[in-house]
Amino acid sequence: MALLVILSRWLHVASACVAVGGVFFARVVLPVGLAALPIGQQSIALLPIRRVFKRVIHTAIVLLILSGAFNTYVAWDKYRLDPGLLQMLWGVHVLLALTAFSIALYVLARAHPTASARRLLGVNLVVLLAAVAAASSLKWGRDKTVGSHSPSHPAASSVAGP
Amino acid sequence: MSFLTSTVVYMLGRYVHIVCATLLVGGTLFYEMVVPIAIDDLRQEQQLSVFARARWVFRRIVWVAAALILLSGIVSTRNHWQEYSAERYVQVDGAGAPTTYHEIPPAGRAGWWWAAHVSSGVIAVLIALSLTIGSVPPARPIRWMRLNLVVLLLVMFLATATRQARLGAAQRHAGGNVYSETAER
Repeated sequence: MALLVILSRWLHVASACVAVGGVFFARVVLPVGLAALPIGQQSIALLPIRRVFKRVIHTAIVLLILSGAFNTYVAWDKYRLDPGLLQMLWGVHVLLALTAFSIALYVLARAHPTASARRLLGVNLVVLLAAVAAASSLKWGRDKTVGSHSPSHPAASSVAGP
Repeated sequence: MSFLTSTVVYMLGRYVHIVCATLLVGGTLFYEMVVPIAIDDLRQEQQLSVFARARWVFRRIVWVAAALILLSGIVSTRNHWQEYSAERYVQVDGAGAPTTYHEIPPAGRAGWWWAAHVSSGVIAVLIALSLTIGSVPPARPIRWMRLNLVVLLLVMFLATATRQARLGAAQRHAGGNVYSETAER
């Protein structure tokens, strides 16, 4: 079970890295690289990029949903220890992630990019970074809550001699 | 340092560490998987031009991410050092009862996983830096990036395993009054 938990967490973090890093690269780095090409060729070069990017993002979304559902199932008992804080942070994280997925799916739905694609990618990057912040806070809150509910709480984190 | 300051620094450090990892992993994947396919139909000089400009921007991102990932890693390590340096747990079974020592099994030692995470992470950062240092990319840059992507994914796996070992050690000994202890007594 421990290995499954590690693999699921790893899959979740790796997929998030691919999604966030990919959106950042597509929004910030790629336009500078493509600026070397004439205007007409820029849009021609963008089409295969969109095709590959779409496959990468769709795969990342599926993996994020599957591994996220499993991680939630494993950790839900801990979220019950302090529902006010933990379930709120979990809800914010999931809502932000679903918003980011929706934007990504909308931007990549057509074969050709729309006029607002670049702006939406920028918005998506901000939403994704906020989702990472919510996840990071959720993990901090979970560790803190579990630590404070442990029978060994007063001593567990302190170094002491026998 | 007050509780509030240390909590904010720790949370910010975690956030920065993860975001920098996403930029390195996602950027490397994009650079070695997506861009070559996209510019496959262009002329040789146009391909080089696109690569060179993308590399110029990516270099700054890699350098900033490498510096921040090291700094935030130090903050996180400092915060968890007790757990990483614990080699056994001392269980006090109750008043008058003898103190028992529990050795942590090798696979459960968070410190070992942490050492593997840090060493492979340093290798990945060094490969990323070496690929972006200088005005000319090294020979076979895509192959190096592919290798670095594999190393980065391994680094992330080790980070997850480190966390699992850290939490596992604490949970195993949650039944009694438990103290983490380093080698010297």
